[in-house]
Amino acid sequence: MNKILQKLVMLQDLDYMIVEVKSKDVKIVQKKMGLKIKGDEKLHDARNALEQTIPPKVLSKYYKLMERFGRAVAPVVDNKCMGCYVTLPKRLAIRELGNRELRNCERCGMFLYWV
Amino acid sequence: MKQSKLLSYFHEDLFIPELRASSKDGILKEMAAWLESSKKVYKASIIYDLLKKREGLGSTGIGGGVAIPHCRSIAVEKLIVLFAIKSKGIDFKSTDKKPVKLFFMVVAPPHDVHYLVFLGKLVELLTDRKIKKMLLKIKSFEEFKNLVSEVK
Repeated sequence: MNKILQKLVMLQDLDYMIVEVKSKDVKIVQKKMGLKIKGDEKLHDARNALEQTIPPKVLSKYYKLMERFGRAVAPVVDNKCMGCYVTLPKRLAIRELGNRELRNCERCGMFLYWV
Repeated sequence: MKQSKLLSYFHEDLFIPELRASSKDGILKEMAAWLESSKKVYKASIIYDLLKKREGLGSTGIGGGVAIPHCRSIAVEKLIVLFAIKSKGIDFKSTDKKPVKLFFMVVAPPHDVHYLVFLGKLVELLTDRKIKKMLLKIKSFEEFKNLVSEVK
């Protein structure tokens, strides 16, 4: 799997996690579970450290996409980009092939990750 | 969420009757690897790293010998739950400091609306001492299914 793609998936998941731990609904469920979430500083540190390892051009695109769509990496399911639902070229139907390189959807521009 | 709906998230290929690992990290790694080998995720390390970071915010050991490691990730197509048993129990830094024997790993896509409802329902089920005791004796997925479907 392409290493930068793997980092982008992690970065987006961490960005979602940071938002989620602050949400009311999550706090209610965590309370029901008897769990306490400590400060999210560690999450911020982890995502910032990860960010440093991503090439600036890729990172800049990540932020642009996040700003525009609220996400930058779109999962690919049944060879469809789940960002805009366009069907991708048949040659990319195998996930090992798709994830080998960093690719963007030709329609919406999101980074593609074959799940 | 009805019991039958809760049960619909569990699948035979996502059941580990006995975990091999004997540390917190090892358990997370083994369970994440199971997800990869059963083709539920493409790369186990993505899930493992995320779950570790979630554990860094506080253990998901809810007490009474149960842990529910959970996270959201685009690495999964839909909500998945992996049920595993470690009959000897391990230190999972639970709230009550008791060893954990039952593990329910829950991973859902970022915008899955059933995720929190499912977690809530699962906790409800697992607070019942009788059920927990019976879960520990389970040797097959069929037994698990029968037990949960009998719960009112």
